[in-house]
Amino acid sequence: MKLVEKYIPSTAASLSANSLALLSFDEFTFLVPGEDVLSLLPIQKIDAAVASNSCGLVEYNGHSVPVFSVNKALQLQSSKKDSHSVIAILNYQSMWFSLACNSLAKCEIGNLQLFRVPTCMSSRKQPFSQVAIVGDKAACLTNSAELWKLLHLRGAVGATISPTLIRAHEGY
Amino acid sequence: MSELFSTGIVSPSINSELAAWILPISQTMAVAVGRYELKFIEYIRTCISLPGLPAFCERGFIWRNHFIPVLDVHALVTRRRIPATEGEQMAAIIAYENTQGGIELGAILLRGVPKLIPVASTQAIPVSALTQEWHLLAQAAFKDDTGGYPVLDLRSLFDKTPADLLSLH
Repeated sequence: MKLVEKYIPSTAASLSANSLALLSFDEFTFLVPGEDVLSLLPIQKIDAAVASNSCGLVEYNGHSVPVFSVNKALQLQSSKKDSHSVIAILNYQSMWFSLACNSLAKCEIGNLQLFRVPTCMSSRKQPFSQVAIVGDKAACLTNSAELWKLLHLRGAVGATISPTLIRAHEGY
Repeated sequence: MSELFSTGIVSPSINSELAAWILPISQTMAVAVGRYELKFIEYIRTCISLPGLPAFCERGFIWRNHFIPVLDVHALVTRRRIPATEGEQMAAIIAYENTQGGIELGAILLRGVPKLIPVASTQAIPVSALTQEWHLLAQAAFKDDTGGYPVLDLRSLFDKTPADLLSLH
């Protein structure tokens, strides 16, 4: 059985509640529930950054959505890497944000064996507590809420959703 | 994969209950664990790294359907990482009791072949006699002709988060 299928924008609707999006970065991958992923855009759509901690903005459905780039230390970068080729737009309680990544593929939950992250490899800044192995890399099981928490810990967004934050986000 | 008692590493002359495994963690540094704490010696072909972690604890591997964390104790105590070599790396798989009383597995990265040596109570030295970096990582210490060895407190090493471990130094 094929574990991972290449995910392309035209198949965005195929990411169902039972599927995961495998967001690949240079040295690690995130597994995000398909329902948290709104869309996938080419990296060329990115506009220059206008705020600290983000590496730019992208237009999606009439809104400017911040694009974040994370390195292996899970720190936010002010510019995208050359290896980044796509932007995954994510939704957390109607707040939209995006991650620049190398590629995105579809992955079925049932095909994965998940392992708990041991205490000596745990950090409060990690947006995951379980990992799977996909290929020869760790695939860290996360979701838009945990990624939002990471962005908050890094000072890029507010902690909770409020009308003020939504307005601030829309005018970002 | 090597189960210890079939490898020939164990000297047949060691009948004493009091014995320790000497684990080389660099060319010049070795640590000790209790005789029954070391369960297996494994050649690791594929390690995977998790993001958001310091270098000494970022790697792990799948072994017998378990995810085993690998600690580079040398990198932890010296803050310097020995560059990874191509190919297999040797690791000692140890067992420890976590704070809930369960038994967990972990691995210590090796830079040489471990050996089991007999230890007499007269060889014991205070942990404070070791260099500073071992004071909070060792549960005991002993010496032989070649120097002093910290006996690692495995629960302290493996049942703490990296942030907690680093704060010990």
